[in-house]
Amino acid sequence: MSRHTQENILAFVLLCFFVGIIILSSEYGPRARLVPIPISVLGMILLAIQIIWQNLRPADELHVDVLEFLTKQEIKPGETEGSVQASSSAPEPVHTASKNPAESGGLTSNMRETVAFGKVILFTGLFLLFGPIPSIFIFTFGYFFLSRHFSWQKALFYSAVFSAVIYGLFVEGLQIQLYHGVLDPLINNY
Amino acid sequence: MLEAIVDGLTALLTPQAGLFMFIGVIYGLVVGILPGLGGIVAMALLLPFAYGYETPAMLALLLGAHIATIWGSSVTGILFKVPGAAKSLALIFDGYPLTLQGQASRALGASATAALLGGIIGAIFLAISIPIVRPVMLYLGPPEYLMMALWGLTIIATFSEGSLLKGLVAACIGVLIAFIGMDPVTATPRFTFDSIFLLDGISFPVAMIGLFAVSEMMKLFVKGGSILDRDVTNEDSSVLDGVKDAFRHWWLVVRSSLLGVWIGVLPGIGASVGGIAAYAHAVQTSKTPERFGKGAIEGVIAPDATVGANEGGGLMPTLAFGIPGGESMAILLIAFISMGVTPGPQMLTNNLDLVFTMMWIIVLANVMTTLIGLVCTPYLARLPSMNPNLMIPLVLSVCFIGAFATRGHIEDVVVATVFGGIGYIMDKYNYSRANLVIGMVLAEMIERNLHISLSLYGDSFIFTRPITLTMFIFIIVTTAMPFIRNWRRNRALATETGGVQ
Repeated sequence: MSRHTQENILAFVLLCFFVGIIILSSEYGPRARLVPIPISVLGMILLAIQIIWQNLRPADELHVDVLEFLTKQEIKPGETEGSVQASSSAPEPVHTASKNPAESGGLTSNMRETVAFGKVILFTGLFLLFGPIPSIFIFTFGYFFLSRHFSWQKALFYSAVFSAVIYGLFVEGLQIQLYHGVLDPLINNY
Repeated sequence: MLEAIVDGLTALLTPQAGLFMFIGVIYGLVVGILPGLGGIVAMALLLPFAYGYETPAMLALLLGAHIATIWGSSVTGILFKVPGAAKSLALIFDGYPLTLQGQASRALGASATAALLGGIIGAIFLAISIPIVRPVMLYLGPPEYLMMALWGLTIIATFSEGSLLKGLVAACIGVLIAFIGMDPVTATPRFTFDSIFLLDGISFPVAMIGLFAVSEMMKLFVKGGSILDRDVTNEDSSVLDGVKDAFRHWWLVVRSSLLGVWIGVLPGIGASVGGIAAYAHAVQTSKTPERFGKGAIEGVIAPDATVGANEGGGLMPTLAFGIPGGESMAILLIAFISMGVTPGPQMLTNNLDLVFTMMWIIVLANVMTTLIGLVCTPYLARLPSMNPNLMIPLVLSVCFIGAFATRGHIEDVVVATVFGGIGYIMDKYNYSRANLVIGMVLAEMIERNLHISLSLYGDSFIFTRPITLTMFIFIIVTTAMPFIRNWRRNRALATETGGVQ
């Protein structure tokens, strides 16, 4: 899927979000919708301009904004177009995904994104099922071991120590009442 | 007054008060570094343990912990782009780029020194201005507060990670997200879909944990390698550079500190607005605004000085009127009541020594935090070079339990996950995450003050109140300034290039 298509899909999803807010707000009283509706309308207008603008530009100029264009941000002598875009967009090297799959353990960027989302969702699932401390132990042990960072013995030891530190800090130190997980009643029955 | 100043300091020169302040500062640093847990949590958790001791010691424990959380939450913002609290949000704009450039020590040193100077300047100016501030406070009303919030929004125009249109869209989304929950004006449940959990709204710390911490860990996994792809021994800066930077930009520190005192004095605004407004002010008054967002040290100094000074300012409405200047001051108010001290106008006459004791606590706790911070900085600066196979599970674990601990709701962990996904997508497609949080922080203040202003002064309230109108014009001028400056510079450049040809 091209970058243009991805940007358009996201923009349309956001447009739907604003439309949804307007529809929901129309059910509220005049004072309750006084701010949400104008903000949503503003968001829709901005997105409409963005959609038109991004479809009139080549894919490598998607970072150039219509408002930047209006203020005539020109390319300075000695700078390439690419360098201007790089400096005007988020400059952080951490933002750019590795383009060489070999460097990333043989996975393409899209696959790594899917795995990243999967890991976060898996951890959330563990949290809901077992509660914080057991899920932290399982997740950290699994991560240390499956990433081959540690042998299973070391992974077990370090994840147990880390879980104990978290328990000491949050439960004993900060007196936070922990959630015991959806499975807790089932486990207690046995 | 001089006698009260001396008495205020003498009350703190006891072993118990000194020990309590030290414990409070260490505890505050630890809590501040944990994402989602800020000064409010730190003070709330300490409150039950503080009863039964002498008043200055109790205040030293509570305020010391609160002051230390400020720098604690700055640390994670600078090193990992994970603001520990909403008030440290502005630090990620330039603090994190400095870390990526191998200048984490410099950024942390500047941050700690700016917070210290801000705290001291704030306390001094507040002590001097006690007689003047009260009538000014009473003169300002909701329209002026609305203008203050709108001023905070001007940062969106000056910093949008390269795409202003998308930045504005992100801010609109942030404002709308903040409206989830019970509308405080009309008591209408908005966008809750009959969920009891959503009636309380989306918690700022939880949203920030998701948007920044969770999404950053996802990015780290996708990217591969550590945050800082270089050897820590090649660190290009030292803590001393940061300390020197803070003193070199002394005028910015003074201006930002005064801004912090002023925002703290106004009840209900809070340090999060202060940090954002200070950053906007630093960008708007800089001769080289294009450096901001790419590692300008002023972008670290200004917000930290403001947040440091804000605490002194926040004491003013709390003590003089019994109106808390922020959430943490509300906890302090509870502590006062439990001690049998009644805040109000008589506090500034009958209990002036207690007021100055608190001023001294702010100064001394800031000094203690900075000293500890400067000692720890070389070790903290090594953290971004940690192997991702260690960092990702550890940071995600702390973030998720931090999200849970914020309000004790397991649903907040799900919210953090959802915001993590949103943050990743926003970052990938250049929709500023920071603008979304700015929108969230300012939305409630804008809506509440707009409603009150319309009810009290009618539709044309901006034009009927001279101060509001002046502030409104000021906002327009400061927002337009970067565009005009940019246009002028480009025109000059075009003329120069034309002349050469």
